Amino acid sequence: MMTIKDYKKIRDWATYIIFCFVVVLFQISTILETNWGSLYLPILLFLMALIWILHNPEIAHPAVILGGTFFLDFCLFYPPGLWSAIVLLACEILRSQSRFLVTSSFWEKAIWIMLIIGVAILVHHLLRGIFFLPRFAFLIEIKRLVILIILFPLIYGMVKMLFTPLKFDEGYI
Amino acid sequence: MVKRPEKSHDYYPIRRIIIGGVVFVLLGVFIFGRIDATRIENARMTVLTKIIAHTAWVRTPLSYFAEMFGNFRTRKELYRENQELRYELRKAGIWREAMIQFEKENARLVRLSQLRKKTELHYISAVVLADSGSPFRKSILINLGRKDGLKEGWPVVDGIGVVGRIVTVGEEVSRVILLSDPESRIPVTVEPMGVRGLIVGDSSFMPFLKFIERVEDIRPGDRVVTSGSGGLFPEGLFVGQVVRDVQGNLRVRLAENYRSLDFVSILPIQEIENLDAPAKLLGKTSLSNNNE
Repeated sequence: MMTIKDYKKIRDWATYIIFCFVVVLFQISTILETNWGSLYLPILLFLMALIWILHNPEIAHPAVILGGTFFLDFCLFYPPGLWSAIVLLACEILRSQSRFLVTSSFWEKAIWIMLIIGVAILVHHLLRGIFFLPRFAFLIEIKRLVILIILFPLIYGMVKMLFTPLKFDEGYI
Repeated sequence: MVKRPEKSHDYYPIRRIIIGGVVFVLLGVFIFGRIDATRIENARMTVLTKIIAHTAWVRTPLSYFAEMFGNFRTRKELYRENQELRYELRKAGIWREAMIQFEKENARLVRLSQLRKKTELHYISAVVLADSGSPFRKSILINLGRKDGLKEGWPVVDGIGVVGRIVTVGEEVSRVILLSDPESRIPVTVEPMGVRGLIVGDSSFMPFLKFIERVEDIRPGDRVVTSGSGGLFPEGLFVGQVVRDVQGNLRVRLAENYRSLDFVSILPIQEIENLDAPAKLLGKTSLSNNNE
């Protein structure tokens, strides 16, 4: 029999997948008006996944995050696999730290997440260069990171609102 | 009081091994995609065809929403655009008068020389369905595919100029690589001096004009048309105008406004026959006549 926790799990997974699907639809529906969208939307989803992991690591399953990211990679004409692998590794690194970060302050969490995103962007940038793939100018990559820092509180609030843990979840306030 | 979880969320060694394996597989997919891009591209087209076919009802409101953002302009931008349009309008007025004179003269010369023009190009019209959505690829999806007889490499034009060419043909949809795509290279001629060069995409709306024969013969404002070299595009299709960027590089301001691309036309090109037996060129009769 399904418990409330199972329902919540399914609801949260569905929410994340729907977000990925909407991003893909939004990107392919907007004929070439996609500069800002293609710059920020995939990375915003990554940020969302990281906050979700910190917020509720038991439910933020790597398969769901990987599925959503790979779907994005595949449909949006990125070389499939590269960004997904980076996202998966970054998520797992953060998950391994989530035990200590769950009780930390908002700023500590923000610094950890931004650090991970910064490294992920850098690795992605370098690997694209190694494989002779087109890549953003380094200044644009920094701009992306700055925009993420600005949007962090908003996304953080949104994830808290959308992926609310159950009151009787063990180990949470 | 805040309570810490007892264990690190089921973080067992076996999980690390599985995650490592998945990362390895993903990197394998990435490498495979680099080696055999066609297979990945075909799989992508199949998935996108399914998505596009079943999501028209949700893509329409989304595209309106995106358009709302895309059309957002600041007052300063509107002022600048207005000034540019006024300038263009003034120039267009002068050109219009000149065109009328040229047209009259051309008609007179054609009549005098008894010139027979080339037969008109046939074309197939298609609806633009979707964008590639990637910052690194500039391409569109159209609603025609293999079922409609489309073939890879056929040029795609719009009312004014060249848009790009078909790179992947799916069963019901096809992908058109635009001139602004970093992988796009098309041979062109810069008029009026007839200088040959290549248009090299760089993801911007103004691709580079490179590998030019005589740079000194090119001036900003010159017309750029397809040269027909290599048989990819028919000769003389309008592409855009030469501009010089702030670094002094020559670029082409494309005639097509990609932002308002709703319909396109595909020009079916006759395939060039491979010359495996040169004797075929002479034909049977002429050979037999010679022997006799």
